[in-house]
Amino acid sequence: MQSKFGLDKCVRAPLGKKGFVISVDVLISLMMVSFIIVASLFYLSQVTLTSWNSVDLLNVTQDEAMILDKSAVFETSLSQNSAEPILASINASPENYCFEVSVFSQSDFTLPLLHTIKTGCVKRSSDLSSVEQTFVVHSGGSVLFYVARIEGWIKS
Amino acid sequence: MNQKKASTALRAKALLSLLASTCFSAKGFISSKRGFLFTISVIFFASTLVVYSQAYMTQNALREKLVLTVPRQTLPAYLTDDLAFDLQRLLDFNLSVSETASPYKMNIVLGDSVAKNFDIRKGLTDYNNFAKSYLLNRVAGIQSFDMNNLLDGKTELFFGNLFRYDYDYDNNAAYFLALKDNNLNRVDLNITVKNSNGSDDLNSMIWSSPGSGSTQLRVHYVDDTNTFDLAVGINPLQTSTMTLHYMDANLQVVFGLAGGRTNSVLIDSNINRQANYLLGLTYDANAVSLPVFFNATLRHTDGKLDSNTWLKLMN
Repeated sequence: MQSKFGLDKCVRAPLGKKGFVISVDVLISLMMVSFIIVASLFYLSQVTLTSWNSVDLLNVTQDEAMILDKSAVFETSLSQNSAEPILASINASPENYCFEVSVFSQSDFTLPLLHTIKTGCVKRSSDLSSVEQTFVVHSGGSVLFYVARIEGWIKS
Repeated sequence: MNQKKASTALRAKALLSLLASTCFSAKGFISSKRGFLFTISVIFFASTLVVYSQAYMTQNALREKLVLTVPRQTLPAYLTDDLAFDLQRLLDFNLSVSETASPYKMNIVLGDSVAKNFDIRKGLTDYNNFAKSYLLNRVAGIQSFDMNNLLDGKTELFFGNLFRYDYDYDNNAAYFLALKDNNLNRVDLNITVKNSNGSDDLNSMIWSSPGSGSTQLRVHYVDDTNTFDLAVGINPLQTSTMTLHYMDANLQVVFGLAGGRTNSVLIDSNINRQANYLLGLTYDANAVSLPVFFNATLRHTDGKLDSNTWLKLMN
C-alpha cells in the first residue's frame, strides 16, 4: 500500500539495493577470509618442532649417560655382574623418556656384558638418540676400560 | 484557485519525493562506502595473519637449520667431560673446590695417594690407545686427542692460572703449587699408611720449621700401629718440613716454600707402600670460581666447527 507521498517505494528501493550489495560483499568476504585462513593454516602446518625434540632427546640421553658414569652406577653394576643398579637408575629418569643401556668391554663391541631397558618401554626403531660413554674401572692392580652405549627415545 | 492549489500540492509532492529519493540514495551511498572500507580493513588485517604465519614458517625453518647444528657444538664438551672424568678415575683421586665470599677464600680438598698400587704410565698409555681406537673414531667429525703431556712421567692439573697440581708418578711426589703467590691461610692434612705387615710402621717424625707464622697447619697421621696430630702456625713464604721416618725409607711433606713456589705443599714418598692423603687448602683468592683442567687437549673438527679445548674436569 502506497503512502500519501510515495515514501514506501522510496524506502523499499534503497533497502532492496542495499541488501543485494551486502550479499555480494559477504560472499566475497567469506571467500577471502576462507582463503586467508586456509593459507595461514597451510603455513602454520609447515612448522615442525622435530629438530627441537631431537636436540632435547640428545641432551637428555647425554645427561643420563653422565649420571650413570659419575655416580659410579656402571662400576657398581660390573662389580655385581648385574644390570639392576643401571635399571634402578634409568627407572628414576623422567617418565616420558625411555633408555636402553648396553655395556661393552674394550675388546668386544658385539656382545654386551650388561644390557637393560627401562621398565615399561618398548624400543622404537625411529627417532632414537644414541651416545657412548667410556668409563674406567680399577680391578686388582690393573685398569680396565669399558664403553656404555645409551639409546634414548620419547615414550609413545 | 483550485488549479493553483493542485499545482502547489503536486509540486510539494514531487519535491518531497525528490528529497526522499536524494536522502535515501545518499544514505545508501554512505552505507556502501562504509561497507567497502570495512571490507578493505578486514582484508588488510586478515592478510597480516597470512604474512605473519608465512614469516613464522620461514623463521622456524631457519631456526631448525641452526638447531640441527647444536648437537655438533655440544659434542666436544661432552667428549672432553667424558675423557677428563675417565682420567680422574684412572689416576684415582678426588677433588673438591669451593669458594666463600667476603672475603674471598678458595677451599681446595684433594684426596690422593703416592706410590699407587697400579702402573700409572701403563694405564695412561692404554687409555690413550683405547680413546683413540674405540671412542674417538666412533663419533662424528675428526678428533685429535693429545695427552702426551701426561705421559712424560708427570700429570698436571691446572686450577685456572692460580694453582697447579703436579703428580710425579715416576718419583712418587705430588706438588700443589700456588702460581700467583696467593696467601695460604690454612692447611689440613690427613695421612694414612696401611698394610705395613706389622714391621714397617712409623719409627719417628721430625718437624723442622724456621719459626711460626700466620698459616694454620693441622696434620693427622694414622698407620697400622701409630697415630699422631700436629697443630702449628707456619710461615707460607718459608720452608717447613715434616719428615716421617720408617725402617729404611721416609715420607717427607714440605709446607710453604716448596717446589720453587711459596704458599705451596710438596708430598714426597719413597716408602714401598701406598700413602693416602687428604689435603685441604684454604687460600686468599679474588676469583669466584676456577676451571680445573688436565694438561691434555682434544681437537674436534666437524665441518665449520673447529674446537680445540683442554680436558676440563670442573668449572
